Amino acid sequence: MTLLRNTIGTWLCLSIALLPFPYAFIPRFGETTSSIWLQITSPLAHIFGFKNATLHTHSDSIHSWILSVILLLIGFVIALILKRFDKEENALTIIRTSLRFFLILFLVKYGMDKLLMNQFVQAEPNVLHSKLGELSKDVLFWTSTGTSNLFNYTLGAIQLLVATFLLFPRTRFFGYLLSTFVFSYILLINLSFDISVKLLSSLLIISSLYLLSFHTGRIKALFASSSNQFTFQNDVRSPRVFSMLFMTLILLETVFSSIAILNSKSMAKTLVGTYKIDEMIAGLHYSNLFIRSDGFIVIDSSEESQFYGVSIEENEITSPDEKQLPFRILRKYNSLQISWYVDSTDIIKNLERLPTPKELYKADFHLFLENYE
Amino acid sequence: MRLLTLLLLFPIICSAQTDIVKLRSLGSSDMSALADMKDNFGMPVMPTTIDTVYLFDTACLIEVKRQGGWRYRDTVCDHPYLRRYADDLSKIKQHYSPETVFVGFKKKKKPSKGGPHYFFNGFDLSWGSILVLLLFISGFRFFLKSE
Repeated sequence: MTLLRNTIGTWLCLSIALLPFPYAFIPRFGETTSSIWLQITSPLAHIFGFKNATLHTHSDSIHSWILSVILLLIGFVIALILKRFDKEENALTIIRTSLRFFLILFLVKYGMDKLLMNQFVQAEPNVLHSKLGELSKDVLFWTSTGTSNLFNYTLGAIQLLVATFLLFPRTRFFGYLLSTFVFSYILLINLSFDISVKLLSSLLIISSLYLLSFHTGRIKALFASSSNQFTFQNDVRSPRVFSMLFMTLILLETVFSSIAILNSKSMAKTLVGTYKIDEMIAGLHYSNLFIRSDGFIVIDSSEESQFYGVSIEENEITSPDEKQLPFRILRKYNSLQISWYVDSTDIIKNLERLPTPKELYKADFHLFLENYE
Repeated sequence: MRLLTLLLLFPIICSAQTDIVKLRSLGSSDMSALADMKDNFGMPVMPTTIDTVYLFDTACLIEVKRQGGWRYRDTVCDHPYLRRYADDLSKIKQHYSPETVFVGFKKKKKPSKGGPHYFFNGFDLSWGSILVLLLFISGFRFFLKSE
């Protein structure tokens, strides 16, 4: 039983630690080692039949799933070594403590981002002007979730509360129960709306269940007769210095990422919006130009819509990469013009800014049916 | 007067989406663009600032970037800016923030041929790495204790 627990625990710790997660303070082991792991996962992907796939190192990629299987084998080998040297119990305490802090880390990070309304942000102009039927399930979920402050604040507060329960020995078991519930809900959303964080959410729910498996007696007590009632009891004692260092890492990670993201909100976004082009240029009908808050512009044409990463300068919007814009976009304060070259002359047209649809972001709440308009 | 430039490349401004949600929200179905994107696991993108830009004889730019508490270097050979402004290197500076420090921009360089080549040069040692090292040591000490 201890061999199995050490195998699963080591696998979970390695899998979570090696995810290419964009930490602000904690070393990015996943990102820095992904190119090395790719040398192993690429040939294995060929063997498993993914012959023509370009392997990415992102979440839920073929690479990340194969890596997870490799890490399970590595976990088994480590567990065998621990058994051989009779260090299973000490290792199990370190594994349980590490996994508990991994759960706290992700609950705090995602919880804080919901409380600060950073995770599900307001939809970009091109999404707001899309037809509903043209949106994919994941984009639609992301957009609609961002419309409710109440939902974000509540879920964020619950995640922080569960993280707090996991901190203290007396409330830890209750925390494991709640974290299993929270991560089940998140995994269900990721599976139902095809959101590509399935591997991470699977690892987190397996971690919660794994930590809960050490408390089978208390789970039985929950469903037992009144003579064997549930009581708050202390969890296994964690190594003190190890726990303090882990907690410091989590606090600094949260502070650094929150400061970095709050600083970015002060950047000028006056040009963000939808601009009507409605012109035939080089045989194509261009309808709208969207300036997004993430530094991309999207141009709708009769052929298809195209996106460009752009640099907004004092007089012009340019694309710094290889992909050239189909026409020049000139800037005068907060208004835009397009310019194109026909018969040795520059033709310039002022772009009309279209109003942003507001219906989705109205702070509407109706307790009574009669109040609906 | 120096141009005020806001470099609005995608890692700069906060917006939380998974890489797939972001790509789809841009109206693209071409998943090959994922290669140029970083996965954020649905977390907000932390702004990246470019502290220093070095220019070397090989016509490569080394950009020293900062993201949150992390500082790392990216080498970009045959950078689009280098090709566009080969005759006037001072114009390259206009595409960076006024706080960026430039090193080696006085001499004229020859741009290399072919497309841009990106090299990741690794991270600087940070306090995060030191803390993780201490974490490993304390964990290992506990591990070695007799049961």
